[in-house]
Amino acid sequence: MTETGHVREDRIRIGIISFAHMHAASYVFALSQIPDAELVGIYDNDRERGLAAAAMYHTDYYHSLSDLLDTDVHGVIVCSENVRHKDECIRAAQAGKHVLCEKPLATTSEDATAMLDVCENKGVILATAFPVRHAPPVARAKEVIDRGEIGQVLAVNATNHGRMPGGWFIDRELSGGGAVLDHTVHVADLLRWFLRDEVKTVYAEVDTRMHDIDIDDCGMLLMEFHSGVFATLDPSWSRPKAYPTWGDVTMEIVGTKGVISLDVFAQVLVEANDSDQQVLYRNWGDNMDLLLVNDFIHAVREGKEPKANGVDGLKALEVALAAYESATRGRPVELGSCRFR
Amino acid sequence: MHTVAIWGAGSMGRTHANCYKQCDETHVKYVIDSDTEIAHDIAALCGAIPQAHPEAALKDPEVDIVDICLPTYLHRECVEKAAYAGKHVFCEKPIALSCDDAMAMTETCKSNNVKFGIGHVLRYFPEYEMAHDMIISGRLGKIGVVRMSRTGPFPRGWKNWHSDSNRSGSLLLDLSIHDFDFLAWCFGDVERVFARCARHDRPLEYALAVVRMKSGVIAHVEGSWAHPAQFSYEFEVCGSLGMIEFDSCKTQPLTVLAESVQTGKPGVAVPESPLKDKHPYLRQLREFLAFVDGKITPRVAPEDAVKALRISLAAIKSARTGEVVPV
Repeated sequence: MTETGHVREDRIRIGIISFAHMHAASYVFALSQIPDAELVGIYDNDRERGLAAAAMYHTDYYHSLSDLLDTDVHGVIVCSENVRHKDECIRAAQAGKHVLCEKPLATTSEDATAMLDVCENKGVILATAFPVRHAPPVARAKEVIDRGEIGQVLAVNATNHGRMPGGWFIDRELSGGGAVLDHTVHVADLLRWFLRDEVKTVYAEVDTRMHDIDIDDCGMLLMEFHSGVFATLDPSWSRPKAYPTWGDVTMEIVGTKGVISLDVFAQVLVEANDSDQQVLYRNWGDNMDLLLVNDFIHAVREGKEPKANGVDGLKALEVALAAYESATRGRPVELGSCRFR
Repeated sequence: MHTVAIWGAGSMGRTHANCYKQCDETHVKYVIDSDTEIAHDIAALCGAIPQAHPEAALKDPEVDIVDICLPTYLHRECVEKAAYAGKHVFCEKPIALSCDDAMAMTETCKSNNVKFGIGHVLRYFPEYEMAHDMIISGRLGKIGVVRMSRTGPFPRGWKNWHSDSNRSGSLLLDLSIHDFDFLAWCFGDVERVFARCARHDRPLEYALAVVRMKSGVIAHVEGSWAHPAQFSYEFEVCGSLGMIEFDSCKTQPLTVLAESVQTGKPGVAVPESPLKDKHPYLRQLREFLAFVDGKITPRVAPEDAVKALRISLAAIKSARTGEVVPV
């Protein structure tokens, strides 16, 4: 990535591409909380959805992506269905706009690599939305590892559970994959970041067992890193609607001198309310989406790398794709060497 | 009336001795251990005669049950000695270090016409029993993913026998076999296993296994002798209609935090989960006594113990070779 130079204007102007992903609403809220950021407008290939969002957040709706990209926005946040990331990201980059792209970065390595290429050639930032890196308990875990407090890391037992999201997430033509794609990338990213190492092989069991859908809803991965560290991940959409929260990100990180038990979303109140007919966890921890968007705004202003860039997005994607390949072949799969190392 | 000889006076021998005291018409007559000091201690608990050698107990016609609480590598030899002496045998888990040994032991007990029980005590833990019953009832719907975990510090057994894999069979055989047995109990046969194990001279051992059941259920098993703090066990079962989760650390009804008598300083919090009729070790041995009396068939047959052992051995092989191992 070339240095993009400082942005001297008072405010960093941001456009949002699509409200397909529910995180778009959270990013709009984040933008409203960041003093030097401004939401300029929304484009959505689903006109109704875009107009509704623009009305709700009192911003402009752009009838075409070019209209939005023709404005003087500094950057865009891409929250469309996974398969659309590539074209929208590339068009934004060609228009000289910085991009924060929802995860997974794309649905194939080729698409993700094409996105990286264009962003690099155009000298724009490509950030991948990996908000969990920004969660303070996660940052603290990394600090503990980096200080050697648990010695040398040997293995990790991780989960990223969720509810079955429905909608386009379970339409392969739009999502590119189910639970394994949806949830592997978060943890693969954290592991790469924690261990400063790349995944060498992936073994996975993948299936559809708990929901009447045509895409995977459960799985189990066992990854091995070049250093020999191994990690398992349960990315399943296994949380019933009645569960007190949407899901989790947890890690048991085992080192030669100790163990870290990380439960990223444990900062909750437990609420039992007759009006909900259910017990609910209410999170009082930091808003990691806000920290993520703030990092992107900061990267745009300072011309610096975001905390998780496009290469990170590609690397995490490759782990998920290898998991599907392993499940098909019934054996561990070696990850291809990647030129962005 | 049953007369028991407990063979092996480690922590399991002590646990069993305490349980027999609560069993009707049961008397522990001998506690056998080459370490006469600990044999004395446990014999004193239950009014038994400490013995350094098994001969007296095996020859005593009054003894009808021999309870083997020895390290795993001694199981075959001692179970067979007891069977040849015409005693019913209860043997701690794991049944043996190899399937050949396990099947030979089972055969010896059969041919000597003695009953053979294996201590897969997890099936008597009420939390696991309840989970099993909920799974079998269909209440959770079609099961998708099951997570099993058992973590604690490296065990400090007799002469550190756990650290010698030729004697203990290692973590995946000694500890994770509990969870493998539970999976087989609830979901039947295993299709394949993929596992990894880490060791370090601290000492520690840590293993993660991905288990695919023939039924299609995807399971994950974590076993740890690398956790410095207290022993804990967890599970989670997710189905199409609902899920259950259990964490031993979050279900302790009682925690004692007292000043140390010696130093007056705050001590370590000791959590407890007291049980009376549902005490798993007591129920396990009561069931074995009823089995010996011909009143019931036990919930753990030797074949079940062999099945669990086979999964452990497959996981160990996978961790060693890096391959997916069919079971």
